[in-house]
Amino acid sequence: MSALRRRGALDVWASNIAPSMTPMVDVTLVILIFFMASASFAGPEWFLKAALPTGDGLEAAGEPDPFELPPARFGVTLRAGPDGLTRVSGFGAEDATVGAFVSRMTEVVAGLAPEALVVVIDAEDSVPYADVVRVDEACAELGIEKIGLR
Amino acid sequence: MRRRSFHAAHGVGRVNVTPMIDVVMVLIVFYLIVGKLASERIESMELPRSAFGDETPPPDPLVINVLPGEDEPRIVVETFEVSVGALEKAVRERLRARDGIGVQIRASRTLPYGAVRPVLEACRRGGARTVLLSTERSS
Repeated sequence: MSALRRRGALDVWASNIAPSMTPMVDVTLVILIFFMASASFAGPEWFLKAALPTGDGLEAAGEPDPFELPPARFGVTLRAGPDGLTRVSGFGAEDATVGAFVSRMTEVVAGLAPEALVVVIDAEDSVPYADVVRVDEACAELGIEKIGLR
Repeated sequence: MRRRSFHAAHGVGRVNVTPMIDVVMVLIVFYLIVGKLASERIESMELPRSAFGDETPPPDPLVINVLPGEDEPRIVVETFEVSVGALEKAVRERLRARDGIGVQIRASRTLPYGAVRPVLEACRRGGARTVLLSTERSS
């Protein structure tokens, strides 16, 4: 019969001093909605850094230090192939597809210090921008910090 | 015999602040979202995909959007559409006004490089030495 027992005044008082969860839940939900909305506005974007060199970008800037080796400079050229695919030349590859060029560049850079390399990317106007970004991304992924776009 | 009152101890006249906090929080969030929408400087487009890149956005960058247009690509600097000819001046003025800011280029992956090259050249002539290319995470 304990379920039918009337609640006494002390029981009522004890239940009244429990912390109210309602405001905390309200505030938490509002903050949650705000962060969800902010995340959808910002969007999942990444950033690839590229320099804008003057000239052809391959010449050394300023007076060279006679006691320091100049950085190794590589030119990468992208052009539209007859089959519509982008052909890439550089790092010893000649008119390779983007995937084959990235493989070749990975082999070459593996034996070098990537942070000391300078890569200048030059592309024909008809080459898809996405392929230029793909080559830039491959260079950055290998640790090359000085990447120029012409 | 007088019965004890348990409600008197809690203060009958106390103001209930719960609805006030609710309303204030909703107002704060409303103004935060409206402010963020008003300052939105990016255009919706298909960015090139990449599996590598820097996740940290530059602080308060100059955002240049390059979108496909009917005849020629549309260039939107923050919220204003400009021509290729006027882009150099726009970049120079903004770089001068906000010293040390980065230039972020958001170009559609459907564009050829020939549509983006004039933008890069205008940035270089306008005084930018480096740019950040926005990409979409592919993983």
